[in-house]
Amino acid sequence: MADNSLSPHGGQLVERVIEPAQARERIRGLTQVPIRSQLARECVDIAYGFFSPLEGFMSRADVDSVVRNMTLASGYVWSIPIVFDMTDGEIRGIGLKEGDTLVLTYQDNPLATLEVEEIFAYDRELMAKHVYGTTDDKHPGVRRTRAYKDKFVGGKVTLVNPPIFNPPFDRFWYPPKLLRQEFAKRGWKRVVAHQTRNVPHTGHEWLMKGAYFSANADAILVNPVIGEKRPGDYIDEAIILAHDVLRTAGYFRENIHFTSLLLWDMRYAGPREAVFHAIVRKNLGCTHHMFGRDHAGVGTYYDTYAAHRVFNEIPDLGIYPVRTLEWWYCPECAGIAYEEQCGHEKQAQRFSGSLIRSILEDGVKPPRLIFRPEVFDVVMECRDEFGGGSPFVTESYLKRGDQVMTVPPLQGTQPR
Amino acid sequence: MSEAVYPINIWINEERYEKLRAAGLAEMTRDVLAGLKVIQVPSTAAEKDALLARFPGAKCDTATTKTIELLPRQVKDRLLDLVLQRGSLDVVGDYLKSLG
Repeated sequence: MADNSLSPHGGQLVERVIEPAQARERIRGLTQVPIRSQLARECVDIAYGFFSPLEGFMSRADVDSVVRNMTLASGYVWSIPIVFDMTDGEIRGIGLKEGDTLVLTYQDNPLATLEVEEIFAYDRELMAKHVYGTTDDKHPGVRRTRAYKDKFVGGKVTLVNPPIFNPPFDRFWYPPKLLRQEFAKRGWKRVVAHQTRNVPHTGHEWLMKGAYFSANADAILVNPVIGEKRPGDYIDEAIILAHDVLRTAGYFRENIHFTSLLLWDMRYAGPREAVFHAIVRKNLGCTHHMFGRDHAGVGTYYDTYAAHRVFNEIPDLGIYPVRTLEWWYCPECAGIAYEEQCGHEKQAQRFSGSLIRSILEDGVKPPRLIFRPEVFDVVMECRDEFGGGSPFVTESYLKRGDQVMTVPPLQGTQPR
Repeated sequence: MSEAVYPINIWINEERYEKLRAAGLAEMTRDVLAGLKVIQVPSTAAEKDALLARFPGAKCDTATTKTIELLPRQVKDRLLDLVLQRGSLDVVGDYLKSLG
């Protein structure tokens, strides 16, 4: 019987990273396959244990169990299929068969090996329907699922060439083992995770402060998702640096706040993604995870507080969901107030990330009660240094390619 | 039953405020969020859908503010120009007609 409350998930932190000297020998003579950035990020996540107990890309049994039951075949709760896809032509072209080992390359250099345990097909419509609760093609997760190639390849992943994280992301790269060591060094036993893909406004700030109180926490881990971007999103540099400046500017004391990044392409799966986030942050060493309104949602596919309720429907994950409602600006309270406490709902002035973005786009500086001036300054600096004149993702920002990590030539080998 | 209204927030910077003041329309602005000025241009459900189809980067923030956000700045500039010309906030219909 799987004990879902174990931390890390499954009871043991996966670490599948080998030394360069071993790596050269390991990959000699193996077929090399280039992979897209999403799969590269997931290889790194798997190998460093972010996705414990996963040791690789899922088998058919695991995919089917995750899709239908929200568990792995082993019984451990898991909500999002983690799959490696290839076309029939690609498979035929390299004569791939079960039992082979591939070298996965990224940015023209070896990144990881994939031990091919199973090659299988899976009903993508069924996957979309269960994981996203819809087959509407406007849902980005459904589109991603429909875009998967003909077959999936399941098997263990080993990182043979750890990527270099580029500034400014380098100082926020903490795989689970290192982050747990940081928490221990600081004496933090109760850490509440904040999931974000946005630059923080004060509503976010109060969400974190409220969750800190609710969890009786020692600290808050801000864990921005860094991955695939869409035009109009904030650029990744702005997100991570803006969160960090809340600490350096003193809105959070130094000894209660930490920022580290998570490589992940958002699936916008609402409650299922909330469960996934909880598991990953448990693997990072967190004991609590805050969930506000519309967590990991998109459009109107999910009920506003579906992510709050999903944790009532699954076994105890060993990470406590801190369910929070809304923070708004109240002119009567003369500040940011909490929905469950403020009795001036008729006067409440709600604000959101989208609203703040609109304000910035209109060339207006928001007041400090809504958006901290230090955050504004960081966003403007990132606009100039990284964004080519915009703090939001543009087509030219996307054309730059992966700026977060660089896979160098494997030591002792020539670059391809 | 009145039709649902989806406000478009046009946030007022110094330049925009000066134009409104010069046109005698400064009182159209509302003070919100501890120091911001905004004018809210209403749109019907059909107008909202037309705008979102035309400008896919925009969204209707159904989760929180129930307003239309992230329209390109030049769209808001044009809407403000129409407000200044007409002295009225009911300009979205005419704006959409002007797009053809």
